[in-house]
Amino acid sequence: MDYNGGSIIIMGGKNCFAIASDLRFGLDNFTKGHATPKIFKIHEKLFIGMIGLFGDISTIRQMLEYKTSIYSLKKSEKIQPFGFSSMLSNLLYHHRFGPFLVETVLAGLDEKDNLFIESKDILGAKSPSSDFATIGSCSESLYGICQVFWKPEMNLEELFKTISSCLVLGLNRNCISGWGGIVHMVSKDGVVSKIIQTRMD
Amino acid sequence: MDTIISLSGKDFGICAIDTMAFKSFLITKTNINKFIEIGKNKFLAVSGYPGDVIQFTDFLQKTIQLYTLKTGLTLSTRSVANCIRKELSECLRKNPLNINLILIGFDKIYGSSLYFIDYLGSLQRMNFCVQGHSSLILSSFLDQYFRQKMNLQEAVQIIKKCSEILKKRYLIPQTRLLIRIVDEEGCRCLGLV
Repeated sequence: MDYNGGSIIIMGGKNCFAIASDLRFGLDNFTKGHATPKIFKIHEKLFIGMIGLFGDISTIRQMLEYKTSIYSLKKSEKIQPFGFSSMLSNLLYHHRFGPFLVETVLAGLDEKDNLFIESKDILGAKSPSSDFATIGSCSESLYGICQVFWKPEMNLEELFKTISSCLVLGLNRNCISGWGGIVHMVSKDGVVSKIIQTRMD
Repeated sequence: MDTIISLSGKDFGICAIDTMAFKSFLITKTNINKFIEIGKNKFLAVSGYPGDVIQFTDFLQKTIQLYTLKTGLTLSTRSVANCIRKELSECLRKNPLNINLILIGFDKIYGSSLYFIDYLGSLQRMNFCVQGHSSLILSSFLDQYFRQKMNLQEAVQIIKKCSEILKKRYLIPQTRLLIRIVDEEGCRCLGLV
């Protein structure tokens, strides 16, 4: 799981959320690239972040793209976070003996703009949360950092400041993640993406 | 053991690979061409066990040729890269192959592009890439000296400097590196360095 590296934070605010990841792509201890975000957009109000073996991340992403396209063509509407989460858990458990080595976090706003944050393990077990979720090589330290800085009912600006500081603090002490960060701030008004500077090592 | 140095320049992609074939500690041949052409505007540089390499790349070459014959369409570099990645990631859990590839191609719309594909199925588009043990020696050098949109002379200069560094610091004396470029006219070999 730490072969390609990476870390992701999701923080929830008042009818909005922010999702941030680092940009490193490495082969064990060798940094190969520094332009690889691990967050993928399903649609304007649903984002998925995946950490683990990068080949499996690409495979799952292509499978999910196929399934959500078929869903939106059949139902003429975008998939909702809860349904997407169940579909992803099913996909991951399908490979119970021989799993994809990927941990995932989901963040979405449903049709009433209620917040949905959930993290999954490699077999698709769901752990919903109401405040924040972190996965990756420094997820343990990020949990501690986020616990200190997160406040309920933040708006987008406060969310951006909080999530960027937490990400930078977490990546500073970890060599398997880093090399820049990207933050997407999502609300009913749309998506704003920003790249943040971190230590480049 | 193979050394592959590849760069993406302004409207061309360039790659240098060593020309040595070996079996355990013996050098069997010192003048082979390890590049594999895929269509007219793309080529692969592969490193890994020779048996796996030939098996996999033969299959790829012919599959893509068959697709082109059947549909009459030429695949873009990105499509070919994703096709290769899918095959490798399926192989990972059935019959693991230990090969790492660099795909370099030129499309009229997108320009030149360079893709690195791992034996685990990780696909990355990059500006420059070094493969093999020499990646540990040359990556930092290329970080410093690589510029976006270089012209051909600058790119060949950089590869010559890389070759000198390898001669100084790499334990296994490599033969001369064979350079190949791809641009809108197609692929051609430039010579040895």
